[in-house]
Amino acid sequence: MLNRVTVRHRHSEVRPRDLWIETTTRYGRLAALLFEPQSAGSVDRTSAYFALVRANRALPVQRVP
Amino acid sequence: MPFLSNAKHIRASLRPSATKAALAAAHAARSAVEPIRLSARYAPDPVHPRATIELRRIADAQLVPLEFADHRRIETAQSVVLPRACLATADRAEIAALLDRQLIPYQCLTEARRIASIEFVNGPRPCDRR
Repeated sequence: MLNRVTVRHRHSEVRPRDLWIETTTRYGRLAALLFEPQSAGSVDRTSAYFALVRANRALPVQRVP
Repeated sequence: MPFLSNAKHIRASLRPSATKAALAAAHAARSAVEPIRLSARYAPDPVHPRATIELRRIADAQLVPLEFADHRRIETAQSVVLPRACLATADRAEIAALLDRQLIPYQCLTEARRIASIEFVNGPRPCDRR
């Protein structure tokens, strides 16, 4: 679980082969919840994602507002 | 009018295509502004804490009013406003496998560009750790 998450607003360099996930569709909304730090206790997230989160200091998925 | 007759009457008056389009538009408009509540539970309502419901007693087929605690109020917490999109910039193969397993569509970007984004860092900010 994520005990504390810091939010950083930034301008990212998007590189080729980065993954873009639209969140306007039903499954896209699921993805947004999947990667949302606040939903750690509410959404059934796979252990694979938590393994990535533990391994990285920065979470591998960013939000595009 | 009985419930089923009323429902059939309403269904007949709605054109399927118009209904679908209206529902999709309403869903899109709602999801664009409404935050998602991560937690919801039924809670007692202080305005009407008890509800009386008539149930039929098996022994003599009489309707008997019985009082129950009324927990129909929905209490929500932890709202999240969803972003327009998510961007995976690291561990792309693992994230792609995860998205594939959940049938979540995504695009593999083909050209570099610069965008405003919000990044999450696991742990406190450096200035908080002093």
